[in-house]
Amino acid sequence: MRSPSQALAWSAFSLSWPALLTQIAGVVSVIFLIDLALGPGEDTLALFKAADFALLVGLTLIYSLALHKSHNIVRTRSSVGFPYRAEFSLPVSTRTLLLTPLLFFCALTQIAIFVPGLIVNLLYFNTELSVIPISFIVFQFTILTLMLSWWTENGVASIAGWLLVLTLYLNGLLIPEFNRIEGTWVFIAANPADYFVALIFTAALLLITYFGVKQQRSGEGLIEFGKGVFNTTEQGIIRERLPLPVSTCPTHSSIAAEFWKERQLHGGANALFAGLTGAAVTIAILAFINFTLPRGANTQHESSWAIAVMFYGFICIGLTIYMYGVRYKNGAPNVSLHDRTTPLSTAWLTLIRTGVSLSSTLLAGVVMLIAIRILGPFLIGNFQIMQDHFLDSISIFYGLSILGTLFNVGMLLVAFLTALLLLATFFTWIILYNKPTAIVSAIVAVYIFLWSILLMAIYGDGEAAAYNHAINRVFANHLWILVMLIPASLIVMMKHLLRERVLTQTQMIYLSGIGAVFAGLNFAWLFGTNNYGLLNQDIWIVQLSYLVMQGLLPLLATVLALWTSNRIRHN
Amino acid sequence: MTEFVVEVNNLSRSFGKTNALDSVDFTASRGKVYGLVGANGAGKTTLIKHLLGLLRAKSGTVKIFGEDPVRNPEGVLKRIGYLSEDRDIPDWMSIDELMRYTGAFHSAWDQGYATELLDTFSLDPEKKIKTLSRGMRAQVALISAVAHRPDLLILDEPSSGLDAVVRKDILNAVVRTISEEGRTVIFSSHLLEEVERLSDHVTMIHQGKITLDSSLEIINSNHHCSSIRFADLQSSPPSLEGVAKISGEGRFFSVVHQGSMDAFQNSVKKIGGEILKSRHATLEEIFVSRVGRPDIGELSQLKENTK
Repeated sequence: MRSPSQALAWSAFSLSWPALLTQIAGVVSVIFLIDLALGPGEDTLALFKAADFALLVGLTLIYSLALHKSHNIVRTRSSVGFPYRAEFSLPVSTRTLLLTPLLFFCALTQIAIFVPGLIVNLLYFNTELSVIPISFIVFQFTILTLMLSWWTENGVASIAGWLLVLTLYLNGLLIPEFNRIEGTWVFIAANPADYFVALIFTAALLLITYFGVKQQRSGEGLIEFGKGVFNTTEQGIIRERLPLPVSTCPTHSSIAAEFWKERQLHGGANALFAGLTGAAVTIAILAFINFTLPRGANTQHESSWAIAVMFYGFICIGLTIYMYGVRYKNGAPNVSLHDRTTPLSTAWLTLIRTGVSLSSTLLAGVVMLIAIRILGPFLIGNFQIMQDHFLDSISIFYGLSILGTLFNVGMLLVAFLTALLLLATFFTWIILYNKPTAIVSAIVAVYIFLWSILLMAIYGDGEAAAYNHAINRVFANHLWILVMLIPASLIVMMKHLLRERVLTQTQMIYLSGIGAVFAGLNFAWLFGTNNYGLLNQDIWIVQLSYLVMQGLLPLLATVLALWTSNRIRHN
Repeated sequence: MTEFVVEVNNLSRSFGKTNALDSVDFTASRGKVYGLVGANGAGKTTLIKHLLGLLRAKSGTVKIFGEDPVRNPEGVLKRIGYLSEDRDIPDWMSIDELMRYTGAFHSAWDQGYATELLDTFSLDPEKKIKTLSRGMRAQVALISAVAHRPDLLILDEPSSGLDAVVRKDILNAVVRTISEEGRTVIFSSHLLEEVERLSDHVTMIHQGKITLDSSLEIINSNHHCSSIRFADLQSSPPSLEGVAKISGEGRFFSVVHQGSMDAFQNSVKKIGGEILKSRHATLEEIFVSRVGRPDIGELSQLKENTK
């Protein structure tokens, strides 16, 4: 490395390549699986839409992951502001310090969209693709969000910046208006001159960011007002800032004390804050969109309640990601020694931590829903249309008896909590073992890729039915492996938990019993309400596999949580 | 009931290609103070983490109070007080909250003792831990480690990065813990004077292996530092009985040696030298002789000899 910019780029690359590899592999695998799940009867347009979605989600994930890592390279207490603060003391110009990571992230997102996009296009669609418009959109998305996150340490100024940029965006000043040819990745700019307008505004924002970072380097801020608000990622900060009564730590029992600690860190105050923030941001965005759109355009946004769902998703991730106590410290994942040496059994610790985190996500959802319901009609013009649309989407519960409703809601709740637990565990494993995860994902993706190539080579374009049948067979056979993996891994993990005395035999029997009950209820739910989308498929293995998988997932998630906690505690 | 508080047998641990611990055997009895010394990366913290059950023994066994700390973390940790090197305590709590929180886990928590120590260190219980200085943080961490009067107190580099006043506070608290009959203290430290002052027993670790494990009394009586003189110029350091480290050149040498003094005296006489003065070696001299690298002068001498 001959220059500071090379060193900075190398550091950023070293931290993000496993995530990039995982993202590319993940997107390709997901689209392949969606293709299989859609079955032979579906048209390619559905797959195309799914591919669009998977590529966008993949891009967002890699972007957030890489950004998150870079934020934690340094010992910063702030969640906004320039993250490479440790490098402030290095003999490097502010220009290099700002431009190198900016350009790196821009290059990273280009790779993250084009590599999986081209592979998927080659395998499934063979459609035309507009390189420059797509590249431009991704570039703008990356550079603008980075600049908005980095230009100030001031939380209030940061929010104002986001709103300003949203206004510019909605007026077409940052990304040109594109017309897309349906079923393709062809984008045509309505007015090519808009590219230049967008670049001029971006350059102006870059200049502001440069001065902002320069000020941060000298320990000042461009805007001093409101400094310190929403600025921190410290533990327990929300209970400090919110004017809520703080309960005293109980001393009569260790379980009560641990429960108190978890509630202070991840409990009600956090849920309330997260729910209200989620509602406020959702309402602000919806009101803003509503305000800036011409009259009569409201109907286009009748599905904008999905924005609330999206924010709730972020809240869920935010509230559960530190469930196992794994946090970054100086750029490396770390679990506090204090937490690990807490004199309480691993089973109790896991129960308390997961219980508090999961109930907080539910509470945050309720708070968000109530807040939107109360404030929405006053602040959002098309609230009624949105609400009707939302109510339509939950119409599956209409006409059911009280018992039926309770049963359905209960099962949905179990499925939701299971998914959250699995997601939190997955994130924890990614944080702790990102390189092995990336390598395994890449191997799986290459394996899937080779199967697709092989089947395409054998059947070609002329024998669609035979190809679809073969690909379903391959899917069914591989699904069996996955299905066998669930009970097999359950047995291995349960044996481990017994051997290490995380659970006693009696506790294990109770846990398995409850797991079996939930499996039974799951079967009843899947059959009873015809929620089992693949019932009509003629491959019984697939049907059975889905049942086994879904039935055992709650038990698997619980055992996996205990196993993960034990692994983390005893390394 | 086992006679040892800590029993480590044939414990090995690798991280990648690095052997952090290599067939380590270590025992600690009731009522004694064990000083764990070694260079940076020698394996002290890895050993301590095994004692706390923070690392699973992949090869060999670890028993604390006769129990596996991985299988029964709750039972074992309740009887241990632990002060980590980086004073890892929840800094979002106030001092009072930390005391209440820690106290809830230990039935023997002595609030009177905790308050007394808080007063001694002039710590305000209402203060948030994150607002404390490094030294005050160490004092708080120490109080939460000792106020339940643990059967086993483990201190990982208790004095690291602290000024003389806080160091003294910490050592006094350790002395107080030791003075209570039947309690065991294991502490790792770079400050060998401290180890020498407090320990009954010293265990030296070098590159994952125990190189010395004995009572301080025996170590002191077995190791000497002698100055010797030869009538003739010596082209290379002389070969002598029990030498751990030799430095000097020409006619004068300084030797750290172990074993019988008589045997050493004879070996010096045999090659035409005489002992000018001799004294017991300090722990620092013993440590450097066992784990230290040759100094620059010795390196040049070695290079000369190999030419």
